[in-house]
Amino acid sequence: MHLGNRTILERIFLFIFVIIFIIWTFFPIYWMISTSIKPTLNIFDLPPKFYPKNPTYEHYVNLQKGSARITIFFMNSVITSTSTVVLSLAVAFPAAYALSRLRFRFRKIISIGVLSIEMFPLVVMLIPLYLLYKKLHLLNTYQGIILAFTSFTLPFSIWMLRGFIDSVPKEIEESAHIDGCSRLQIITRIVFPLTVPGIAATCIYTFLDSWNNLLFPMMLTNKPSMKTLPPGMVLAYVGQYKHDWGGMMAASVIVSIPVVLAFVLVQRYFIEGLTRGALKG
Amino acid sequence: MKKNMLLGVLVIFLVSLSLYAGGTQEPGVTTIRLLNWFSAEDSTRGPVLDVIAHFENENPQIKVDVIDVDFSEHLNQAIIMNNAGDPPDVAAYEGPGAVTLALMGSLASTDDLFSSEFQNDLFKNSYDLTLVKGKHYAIPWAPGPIGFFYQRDIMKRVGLDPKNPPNTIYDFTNAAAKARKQLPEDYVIFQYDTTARVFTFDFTYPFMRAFGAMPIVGDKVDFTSPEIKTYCEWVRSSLENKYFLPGKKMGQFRPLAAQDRLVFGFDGSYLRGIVQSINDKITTEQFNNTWGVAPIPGDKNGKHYSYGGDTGLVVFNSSTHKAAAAKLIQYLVNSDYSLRNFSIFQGWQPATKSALERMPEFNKDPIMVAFIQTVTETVTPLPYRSDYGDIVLPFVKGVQEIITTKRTIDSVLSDVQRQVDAAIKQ
Amino acid sequence: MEVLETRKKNKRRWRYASASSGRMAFGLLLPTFILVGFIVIYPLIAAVRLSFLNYKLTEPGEIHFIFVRNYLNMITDRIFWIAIKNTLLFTFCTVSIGFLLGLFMALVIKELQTKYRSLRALFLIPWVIAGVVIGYLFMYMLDVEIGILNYILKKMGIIESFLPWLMRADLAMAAIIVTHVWNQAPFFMIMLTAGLMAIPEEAREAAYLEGANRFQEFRFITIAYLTNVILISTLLMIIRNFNYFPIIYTMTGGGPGYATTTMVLHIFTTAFEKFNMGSASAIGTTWLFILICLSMLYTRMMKESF
Repeated sequence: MHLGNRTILERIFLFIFVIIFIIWTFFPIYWMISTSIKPTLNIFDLPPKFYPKNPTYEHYVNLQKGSARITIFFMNSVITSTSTVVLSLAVAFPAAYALSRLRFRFRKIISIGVLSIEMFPLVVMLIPLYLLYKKLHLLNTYQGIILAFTSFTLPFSIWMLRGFIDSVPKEIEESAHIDGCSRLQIITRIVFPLTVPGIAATCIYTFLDSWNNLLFPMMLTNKPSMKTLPPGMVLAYVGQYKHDWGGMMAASVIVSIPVVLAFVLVQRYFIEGLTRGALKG
Repeated sequence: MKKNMLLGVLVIFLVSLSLYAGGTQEPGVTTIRLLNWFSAEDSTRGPVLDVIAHFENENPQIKVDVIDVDFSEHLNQAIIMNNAGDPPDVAAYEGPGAVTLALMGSLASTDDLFSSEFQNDLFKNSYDLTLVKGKHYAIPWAPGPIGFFYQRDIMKRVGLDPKNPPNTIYDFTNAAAKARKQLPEDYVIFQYDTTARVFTFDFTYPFMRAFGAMPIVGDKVDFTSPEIKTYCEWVRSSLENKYFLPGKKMGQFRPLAAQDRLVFGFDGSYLRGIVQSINDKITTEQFNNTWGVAPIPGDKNGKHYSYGGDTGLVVFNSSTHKAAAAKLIQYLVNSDYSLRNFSIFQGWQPATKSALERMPEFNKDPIMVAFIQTVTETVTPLPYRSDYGDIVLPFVKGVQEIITTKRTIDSVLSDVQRQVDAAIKQ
Repeated sequence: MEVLETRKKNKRRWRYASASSGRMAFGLLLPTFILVGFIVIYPLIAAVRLSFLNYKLTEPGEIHFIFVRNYLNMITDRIFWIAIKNTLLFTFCTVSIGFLLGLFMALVIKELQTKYRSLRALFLIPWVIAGVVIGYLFMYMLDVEIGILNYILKKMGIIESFLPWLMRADLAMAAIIVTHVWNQAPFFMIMLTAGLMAIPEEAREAAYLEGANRFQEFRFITIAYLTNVILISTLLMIIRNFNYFPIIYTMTGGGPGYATTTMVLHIFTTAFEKFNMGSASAIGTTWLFILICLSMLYTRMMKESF
């Protein structure tokens, strides 16, 4: 159904709805950005101004000066998130291939098992994990956080990658086998390159989930120098004496930029990855 | 391709391992770790780091590693770090923190770490608040009783006499009503903390006492007495009449004071320092002229109560540098440099009697004098016990329920009592 | 000759499909088993074991076996039931409102000319922003004094005086629902858009040819083709909302009182603010069990009604 078939009235309604959706989606984001460049006294103005009259960089500058030490949090986030992506991918891809292509006895049970891990509330697993890490001296370490992240990025990655591998025609693999390739060569030289869009989508998801996660890094680290951005924000902005909204919004912008950027760049793969599972049936 | 990936993972693991290994230690230098919230707060960060830097200059073999923590979380963090086997050497605490940590067996007694001369110099009623089973476990740094601040200009404007601030809680409520009738909506009548923290109970305890309520007496815990009910009714009606903003921490009312939109404050002597850090156009003289200090409005007999709000420092048992830790504590609490550049600057009361004698500046500050002369003596000790958190948290959550729902106060209080009884039994 | 060649090819194909499949699968899955075993299976078993112990971090000398006492305390604790009620209410409202909004957005966007369809990608931005950020942002916008929402509503005449969105039990629940809907509706929008695009035009046209009007077509054709997408997306979001932590933690911390205390918040406070690990593990294990039952029930229910 194209626009041409709609009456004028319907077109007007559609237009209004689109405007409403745009305001609904973007007004909070605009407010976040505009507060981050408003001087502190203006933030407490009553009535609040919609447009920052004297924009300032002071909140962003203070992010590095103050106890927030945002560059440390940022670096920790980058290290843990990218490492998780690499680790998850390295473990999930072979597993997804096995579940997709090979026939073996426990295949169905393992598939269901992997998916059901998605259901587990993280906070329940956090309690024994915290005590275990305490014993193994894994608290306040990158390895500890990366492993913890992998616990919830792995099942989803396997599920997504499996869907993408399913869509690679078996005949390609079979003819390669007939031509003499070993299974390993088939996986690395044929299937892997063909599923690059799916891999990109999975990587973005893993990165997103790791970057945004609050619970695990918050409880598995107590040294501020090892915290990632989300718990770093919690640490920095709930002080006793006053609420630094400007600084909090500036930090929010910093936390959001990498993910939004990554997302905008690869949104096609991102969306395809999301929807693939739904349409499989 | 898979091989390259595995290699990449290995490299990242090794790199991160080495990053965690951290920097090298210089030989002969003792590093002690200090857990505190002052280095995390904007208004106190500069001064406290400056004092610590001076300490390091005077003691070149000691380096202080400052660990920030949010005030609301300082006790939880100390407990978590202690449990992770990685506690700091020194930690700042507020209120019941020292006793809680001491009961967990995690603190070193200060009786053995400090000279008797220093210990005798501390104000006894503050120092004795840290007694557990006959031994002291913390050094008070800043006794911070909560006093009653009244804005003289606004009082005049609404027809109240600034020379006669309300004396009992009932006078106070009438004054609040009078002010509310005449002031526009953006004025907040008084500062009141209704968050759900252990600190909230401590802060509001003087008000409970003003209504004659004593919910925790020794082993008996009763949150269903008629006096407690009266107190809860007072909180509920105060909010309904829009005297304060609900769910805000005590500190979140300070920007209002800086904007002259607050009529009555309940805060410590350090309020001026904080207000000035929010609005640097307010001079000390202006502040002292605008705000008067009196004890918190008391009960029907005129007896006043206050919350000690002591901030202090503790040494952990597992610290291997207790002597260095004690040196740091003594410097922070009693050195001239610290007193001048941190305590006086913030408007804190000193912890030692000799400080009052050595530094006449303390007596020049009218707010400080008013606190020392009229507020300090109204401090009543809080009924700390090992399960303090488990007992008071249900109650402050109950107060939140009372001011945010339409449930009857009786039903909320009986729920609270049941929870508290269950917590005690466990 | 050719027949022989084909037979050889078929044999090789069969060999490819089944030869040493078991062993190869084991090898490929081994890293997964190790990781999952360490980070998921072990904590799960440990949590069950913890639930039978009296394990308080604040009393490190007093850890001992207390059988089912944690569970009994949990059942008699009114907060546990409040948390269940809050979680169910919160999840039901968030998922249903989010789904409807997402459906609406998908339908509207579908009607636009192709060049505007890239708006879809921009509408997904609330989904990728961190929960902490969303929590603080909405806490700021809903502040009773300086929050922009109160100002707008008052200016528009919808409310008389500023409302304490996060300090009134009913309003707080509404506030967190709206916040989560802002975060999650785009997910529904994308899933449903993909589902809508997969509906073959012929089916639609056939319905119209048979005299169906717009609403009938929607009901019988569109919804029928969307069944799978609806089932999967709502199930995913139900599970997510049952377990989602950051937004509620930063916005209300479970308050005021217990108004927004969901099960995850309750488990978290018991474990990391009351330091009662045993009790928290008992609540957590029970919650996991409830989750599994509800998921199975939901899946079966949905499959039947369609």
